[in-house]
Amino acid sequence: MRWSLLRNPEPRPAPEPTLPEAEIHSSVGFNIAYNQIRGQRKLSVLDLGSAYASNLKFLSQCVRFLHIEIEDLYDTLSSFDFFDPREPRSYDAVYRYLFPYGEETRFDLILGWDLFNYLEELELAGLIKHLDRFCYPGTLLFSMISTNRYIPERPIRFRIVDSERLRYEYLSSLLRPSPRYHRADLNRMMPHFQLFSSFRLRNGFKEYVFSFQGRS
Amino acid sequence: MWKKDSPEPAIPAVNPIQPEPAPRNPIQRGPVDRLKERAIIGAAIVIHGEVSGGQDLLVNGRIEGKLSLANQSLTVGREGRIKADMFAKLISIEGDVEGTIQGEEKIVLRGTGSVRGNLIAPQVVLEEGCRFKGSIDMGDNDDDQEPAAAGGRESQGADSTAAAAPGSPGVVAEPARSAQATSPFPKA
Repeated sequence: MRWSLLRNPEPRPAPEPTLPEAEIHSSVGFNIAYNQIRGQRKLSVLDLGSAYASNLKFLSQCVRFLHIEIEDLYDTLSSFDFFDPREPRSYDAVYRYLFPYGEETRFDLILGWDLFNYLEELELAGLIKHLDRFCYPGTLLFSMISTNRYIPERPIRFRIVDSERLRYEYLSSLLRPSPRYHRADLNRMMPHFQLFSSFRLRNGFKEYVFSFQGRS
Repeated sequence: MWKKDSPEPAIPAVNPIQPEPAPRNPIQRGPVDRLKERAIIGAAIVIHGEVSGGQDLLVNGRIEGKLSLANQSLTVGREGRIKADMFAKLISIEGDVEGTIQGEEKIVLRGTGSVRGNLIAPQVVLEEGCRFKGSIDMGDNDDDQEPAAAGGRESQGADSTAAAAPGSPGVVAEPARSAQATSPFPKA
């Protein structure tokens, strides 16, 4: 069995015009998150995307001390072929293995980028449930949900240009169906997070900034 | 045909005064000269254990265990494969490393480098093209607490069973003590 992001229907070629290799878009959501974290003396970040020099440099310049965990979760999950999606406990085991942080670990900011578009509901809910334990009231989660019918075959790579702009890098010109999660879906899968702000971009992405409210 | 009375072919003149270059004999050089050099662990060398020393080191071989070079520079070459916790003043990684890497001043992960583990240093630089998964602690940490203990994952250093000398002056290999973290899953 493989993760559902590999079980999805065959990707199809992008309609003309094809996706560009890279483009720069403004990001109100990231700017909101940035304004919440800047000025802190210490910052603890969980980045579910890839490691980039520019992102590390930008975040390190925001604070005096930076602790960041970089997971590249899509890449890691794609390499798993022993996961049984019918067994809910599999999620816990996999996430425990992938996020082996100490009980005292708390993140100020989680960068989800566009990863959530590539997880099915059970997978996403399991991920959020696992990450709950590493949040404190006020932890921010930045995520980009596509409202388009199709999304790139693989997650976009995002580089921070500055506090207001992100560079999108497309790794494939193929497309796949988008789950098109709505706010109600996200609320159901992320019961302990409350919407802080959201913005719809012209490129079809809706940027969400969530704030962790604590476990009741 | 050659004429018998033809002159002999010219022989290049040798200046008997010109001194011959001094033979390169490292044994005759002092300890200070030796320490200025960078020790090299070649691509065909495999070390299981603890490597420590007082001179700069370039690793092109494989090390599993622990690597400690206080006040020295450590370079993991493109062919270097390290599964160990590492400590040095300046660390540059061009090969593959798995473990906790602690730099007194700076860690640079080059474009050809790949790291799975923890990077801890006042300054960490990721170059374009590098591959990294794990945690980074960088900047001024005023806390008395060790940075890695502030929230990082546990070290995944390598298991080792035997000691081997790398054969470089100033570098000592000892059996490793770190235990390998076990994965609940088979390898992908």
